[in-house]
Amino acid sequence: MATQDPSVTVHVRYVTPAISVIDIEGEVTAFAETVLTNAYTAASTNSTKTIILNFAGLEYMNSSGIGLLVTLLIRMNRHKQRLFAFGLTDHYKHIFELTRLNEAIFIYDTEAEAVAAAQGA
Amino acid sequence: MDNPGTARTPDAHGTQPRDAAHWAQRGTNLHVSDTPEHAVNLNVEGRKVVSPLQGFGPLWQKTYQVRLPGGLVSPEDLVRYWKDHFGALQPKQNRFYAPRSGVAPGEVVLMNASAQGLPVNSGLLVLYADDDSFTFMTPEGCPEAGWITCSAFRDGAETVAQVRTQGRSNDPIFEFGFRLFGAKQQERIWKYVLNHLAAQYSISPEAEATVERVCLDRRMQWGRVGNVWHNATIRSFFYACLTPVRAVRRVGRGRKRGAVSQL
Repeated sequence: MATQDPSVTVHVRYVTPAISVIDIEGEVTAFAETVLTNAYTAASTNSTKTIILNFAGLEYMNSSGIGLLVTLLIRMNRHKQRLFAFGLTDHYKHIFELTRLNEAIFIYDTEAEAVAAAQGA
Repeated sequence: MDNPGTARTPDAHGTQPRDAAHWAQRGTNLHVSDTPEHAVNLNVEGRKVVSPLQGFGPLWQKTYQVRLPGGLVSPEDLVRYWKDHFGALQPKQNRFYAPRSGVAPGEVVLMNASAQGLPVNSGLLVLYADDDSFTFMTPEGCPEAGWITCSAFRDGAETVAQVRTQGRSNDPIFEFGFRLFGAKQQERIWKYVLNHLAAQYSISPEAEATVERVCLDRRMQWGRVGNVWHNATIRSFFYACLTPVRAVRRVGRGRKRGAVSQL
């Protein structure tokens, strides 16, 4: 499933019944709210335990984008799901550390590592 | 430690993202580069910033807006004015002291406020700032754990000035205070700021600020009860109580120094 607005494109993949990946390309700002919410709704099935965000195509993120990730994380916690991420550059890893999101979102370098961790947990 | 506002070294891809210069580059601990005259620098130095995930009470997102007729001011000019006058736009019980370099990424704005007569001395990290927005992140001990984004954008023919807060009370005492009077006081403060911002552009009184509240998470995070150790109100209260003791000590130290120099 693919959704887009002028500045961000997301694509949802179902790796296993319990694991979904959301590929994000473009800009994560306040304007990405509807797109991200729709992607989460599509990615989250009755059997989904882990959602993995692929940030390899992330081009720009502002503080409103970080706020959106918090909202997504809270929603997932409510459904007892975990949020993983991979593909972050050093710059975005620093932002996750600065905003302390890295304490709640599990960060991996590659999709294979993230999927293995999701399956092992 | 990097200088605030300075972009970090390029990442593995060899290029800096466009947003790099807009983000604070320090670590998670606050450091005040210069304390403005008359400001109290308390409960800030070395404190860790806290996101909404590290707070205690229910998580609220509140969006305050005031709409300005188009053509009066562009979002960029409005945000520039807001950054330059952030302290002056606050009600008188809320004193904010920006450093000489202004509201810039990585800088710390000192906050000397008062809630129902009780002092709240703390600070805010400028987490992010660009031409049409700036975001503060709160430290341990601040009433709220989270961020405050001040921004402006075009909506049709209008320019909208907006404050969006996303945060939880930091500890049980602040949660009690928010339920009792703090939440209402906080709303009054941000409406005051937006109304005064609009007044700079001669907006009529009917263009008053509005607020929309969304509770993102109703749960209390009981594992964060220990945050009370950093409570800025309790610490500011004791600091104020001990002011005479510090004054006596200063006089004592001054006399000692005088005696030593006479020798």
